Amino acid sequence: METAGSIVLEVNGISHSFEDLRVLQDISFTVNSEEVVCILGPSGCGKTTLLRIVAGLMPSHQGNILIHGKDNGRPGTARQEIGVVFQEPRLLPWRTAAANVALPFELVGKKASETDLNLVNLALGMVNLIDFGGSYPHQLSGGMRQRVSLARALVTNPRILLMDEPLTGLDVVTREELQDEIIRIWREKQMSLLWVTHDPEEAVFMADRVIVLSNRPTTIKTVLDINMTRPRLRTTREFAAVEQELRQLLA
Amino acid sequence: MVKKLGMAALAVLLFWLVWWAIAAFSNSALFPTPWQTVRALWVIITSSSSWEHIGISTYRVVAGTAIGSAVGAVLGLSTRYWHFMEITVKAVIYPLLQSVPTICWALIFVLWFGLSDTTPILAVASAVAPFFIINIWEGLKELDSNLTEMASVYTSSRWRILNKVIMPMLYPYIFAATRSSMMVAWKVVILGEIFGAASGMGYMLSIAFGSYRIEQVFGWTLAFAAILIMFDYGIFKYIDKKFIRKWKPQEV
Ligand SMILES: Nc1ncnc2c1ncn2[C@@H]1O[C@H](COP(=O)(O)OP(=O)(O)O)[C@@H](O)[C@H]1O
Ligand SMILES: [Mg+2]
Repeated sequence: METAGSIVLEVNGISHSFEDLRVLQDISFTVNSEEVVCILGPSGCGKTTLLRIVAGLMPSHQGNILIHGKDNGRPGTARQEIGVVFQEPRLLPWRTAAANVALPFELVGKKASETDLNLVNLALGMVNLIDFGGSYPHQLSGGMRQRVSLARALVTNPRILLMDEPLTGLDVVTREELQDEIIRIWREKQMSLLWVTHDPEEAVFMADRVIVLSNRPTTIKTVLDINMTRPRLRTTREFAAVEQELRQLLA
Repeated sequence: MVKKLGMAALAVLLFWLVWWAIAAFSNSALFPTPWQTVRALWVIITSSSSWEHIGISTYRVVAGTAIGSAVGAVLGLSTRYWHFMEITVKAVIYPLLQSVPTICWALIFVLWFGLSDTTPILAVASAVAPFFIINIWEGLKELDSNLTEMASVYTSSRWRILNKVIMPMLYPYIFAATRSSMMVAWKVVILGEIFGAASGMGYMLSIAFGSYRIEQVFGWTLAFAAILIMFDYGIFKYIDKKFIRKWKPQEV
């Protein structure tokens, strides 16, 4: 176990283009253990691209990614260390919620053991779906599906979760409920979160640190530390002030 | 439902009536009446040697479809993984399988393998393989790359991603291919047996034909149609209802 404050993820000078479209330009930052870092940027600026590069799902043209000091240039290199939650739940429709959560174990290439089954139940419990392990995705609401997807990311006990606007498709009530719960899980698991969003309010609620991106070609505009105590209330003046500051930075 | 059944019964009745009318009108030894045909069918289904022939044909259909599906599926999938195979299958193998008439394959196989099981089985396999290639391609086109990307977070093994994520997405397509293949396979097997085998339903048909026992030709034809309908409506409809419809991805 690393101590709080040690570096979990290091993003070094990432640049990337799609053909002529220059998307990311020299992006560098670090994420410490037990820290929530939000990437806040306008739609289309390259947030998803950045997260895919960090997850090792695609190579970048320049720069490198270190997770616990190890290079994560290829898919699967850091599979023990990271979990990913995408904007869509990406569940296998022919599998039950529990079988979806167990998928990472099968993909790693081992027969599901009893410990794994316990971990699956633990993960489902953590996202409050303990009674829904036998349900199929189409029987669940959008919020519940995203919970299953979160459980699947948690089941391997990663040190850092990469989240790509995981709550964007959900209604406000469900979204705030899940924000609360993810913060609770984050505290329990003592892991790091790299959270991508285009929503300043979400960034203020979640982040210890917000990395604000510019329009394309995308660079880091500013980094803002948020030192508000948790649990945070969305209704305080301090909250509104920081949110306002982020909105101006984003514009 | 009841109304539909009633209509179907009416249609069948009408079919028999028209048949009977034509047979009675032509009054020819070359056009047996429904009654003569049913009697011939009765002789067929009450003789154990006929069932042997039916069994042999069924075996050849199943074996040929199994070989054709395996080869077709592997060829279809290979185009996703190897550029060389993509070119070869798309430009040579698929067009060849698709365009050469089954009867030509059957003739070639008779020359190579003589009158044996191999000839009808390979004829079936070569007729069936393109169905699998094209259906696998169809499935691969619709493949949800979001899901394969999700899977590659956890593994770099293409084999496991194929096994756990891609193949299950292709099952409905493979089922569709199997279903349409079976229909073709039965027709091909009869053809292959008529001049490429010394047993099976096609062989019996050709013997009846060769000895001008026209009511037996009709009898075997009827038996053949019955088996085909049983396969499609009985077995495949059942599997479709029971498993495949549930399997088809609802949007998530
Ligand atoms: N695979 C790709 N090929 C070509 N262009 C892409 C690809 N992926 C993303 N882009 C483009 O790169 C830009 C950034 O995309 P993305 O990373 O999805 O942005 P964001 O997640 O911030 O909305 C967009 O203009 C998008 O159209
Ligand atoms: Mg995005």
